Amino acid sequence: MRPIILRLAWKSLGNRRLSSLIAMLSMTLSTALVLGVYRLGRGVQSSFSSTLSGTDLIVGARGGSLELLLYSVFHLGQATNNVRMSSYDYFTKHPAVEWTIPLSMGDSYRGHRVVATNQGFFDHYRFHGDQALAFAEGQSFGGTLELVAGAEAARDQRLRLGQQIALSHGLGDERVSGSALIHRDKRFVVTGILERTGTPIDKSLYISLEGMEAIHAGWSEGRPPQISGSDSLNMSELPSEALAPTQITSFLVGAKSRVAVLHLQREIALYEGEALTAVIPGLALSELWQKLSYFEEALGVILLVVLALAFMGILLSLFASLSERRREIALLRTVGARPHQILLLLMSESLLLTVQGTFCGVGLAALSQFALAPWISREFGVSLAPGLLSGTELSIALAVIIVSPWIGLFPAWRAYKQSLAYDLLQRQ
Amino acid sequence: MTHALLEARDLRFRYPRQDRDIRIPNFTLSAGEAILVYGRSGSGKSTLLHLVSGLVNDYRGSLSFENKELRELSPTAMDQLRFEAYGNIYQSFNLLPYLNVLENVTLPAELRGQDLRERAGELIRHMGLEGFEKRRVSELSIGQQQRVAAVRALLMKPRLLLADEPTSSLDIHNKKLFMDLLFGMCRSEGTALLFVSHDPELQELFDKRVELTSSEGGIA
Repeated sequence: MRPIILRLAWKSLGNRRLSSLIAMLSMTLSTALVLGVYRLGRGVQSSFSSTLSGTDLIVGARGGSLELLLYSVFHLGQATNNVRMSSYDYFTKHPAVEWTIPLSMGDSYRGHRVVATNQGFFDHYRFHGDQALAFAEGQSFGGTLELVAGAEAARDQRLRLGQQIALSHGLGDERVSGSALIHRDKRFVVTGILERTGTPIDKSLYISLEGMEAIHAGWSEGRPPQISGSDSLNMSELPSEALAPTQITSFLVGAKSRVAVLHLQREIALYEGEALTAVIPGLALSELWQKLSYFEEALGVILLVVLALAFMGILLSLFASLSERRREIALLRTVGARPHQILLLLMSESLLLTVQGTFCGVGLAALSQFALAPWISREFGVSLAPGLLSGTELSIALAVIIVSPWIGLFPAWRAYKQSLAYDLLQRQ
Repeated sequence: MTHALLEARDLRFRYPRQDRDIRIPNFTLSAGEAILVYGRSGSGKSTLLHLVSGLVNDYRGSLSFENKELRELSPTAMDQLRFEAYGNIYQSFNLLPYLNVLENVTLPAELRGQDLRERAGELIRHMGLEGFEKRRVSELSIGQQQRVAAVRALLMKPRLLLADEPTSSLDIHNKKLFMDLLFGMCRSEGTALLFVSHDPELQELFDKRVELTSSEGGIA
């Protein structure tokens, strides 16, 4: 392309500052949006994959690995079978095991899951790389009827330290299903509220395994005990063995060595005490993400639509300018511009608008990320990849720039056809 | 004897879908000559320019440039002829407002990949526009703009310059200045001038005059 065409395109765009600026702004916003959505999507995937980190195995009753992952990590769905405490104890004492975290679920508070666990949960649970759980307020549960709230659960239910709450039996929201199965006889006191993690941890409440046993003391086949005369059951009346859990839902395992994980997994699968399943969280999370491929597809469609709208903006801007530029183009033809040069002129304008828009869009995306990343991380637990452009993002930007001249082809063709009419001479 | 550059013989044109035609008086135009085509509005002055430019070719009679019948030229050949042999000055919108004087003048050369900045500088000087080279044309007066248009039209050394009422928006002083400079340039360049105007004051400046009437015209 001769420089004169690029120069003309540049100056002609400058002469139509407002419409050029609007078209460029549309491309800037679209590019920033595309890069932002893409980066956010990658961030969500990355955060999803690192919902649980540092844990080598998740162990539950024999069943599907995805179900095990869902109820143990995402607190979704229910286990069909429990794990005997003896099995948990066996593997806790296994020489290849560094630590374990027991998880027992089944109750809830106003739609928030209640997870029974032990101090190991606060000591060993890691997410988003090597981040440990931290307390925004208060401390871990010490007594049987003490409770720690996840950040979101605390915010949603306006929980505060020292507040007493009654948990519901089962997973339904008692405000919807009625109050028949509320553990009113044993109220828990909030002793701690966790910092936000951006993981399912935030949505749940945490009690001790003994607390879980305490509220179910006297229950038979899922029915509450008949208590007469009082709405409250005295803890001191419960024998200490009544608080010792006999089964849990699942448990997390940290191995002493990564090399031992596969051996341990096989050993758990072959465990004779009961039928167990052990899954490697990373693999299971990847498998789950694959199953959620519609998310990626939806993201792709959104990105394409946004880009199509941006190109439509440029197309409309060029088309709109055509009518006011008929004489300009005719004049160019009369001073010797050949039809292909008119074609190249409009394609160059499209290219220039896109290149500027894309560069500004990259800058805007970087600035927005710089400004919003801490808030996104704090509020949603999604960490955005640092840096200006990743390889894929650069490819997206280049693809946009490569496509842009061809967008200018349609108005260029129209201008070319019009310019043949030499309407400059035919005006009278 | 000079050879005719442009020649019209028994030239007639009927406007499509109109019950009206124009008859162009016979004329010849040789290199360095200047001819004025005049007449009232609607008499067909611009139509004659369209015929010479090859934009309209369904005429009767003969219209030839350098002995080539224009009607018989292919669109590509006509395009080529327009770009290589013709220069144009219009009543208005001669220039691209976003370019400066020098850029407007050298545009035809640049579009052909030629560097004629030196010649452009000379022509600009001859037209009394020295010092205005870097000024945006939108900052110039109408008279100055028309002079820039004349310089640009002559840059590529056209054999025929077509001027369509270029003085109609100029005051008396600027009109005289423009015409003096244009004639001087055309003579020194040996360029033939086909000048369309409805202004009777200009008649005495020309070697030949063609008067057009709505149905037929006569040569003076």
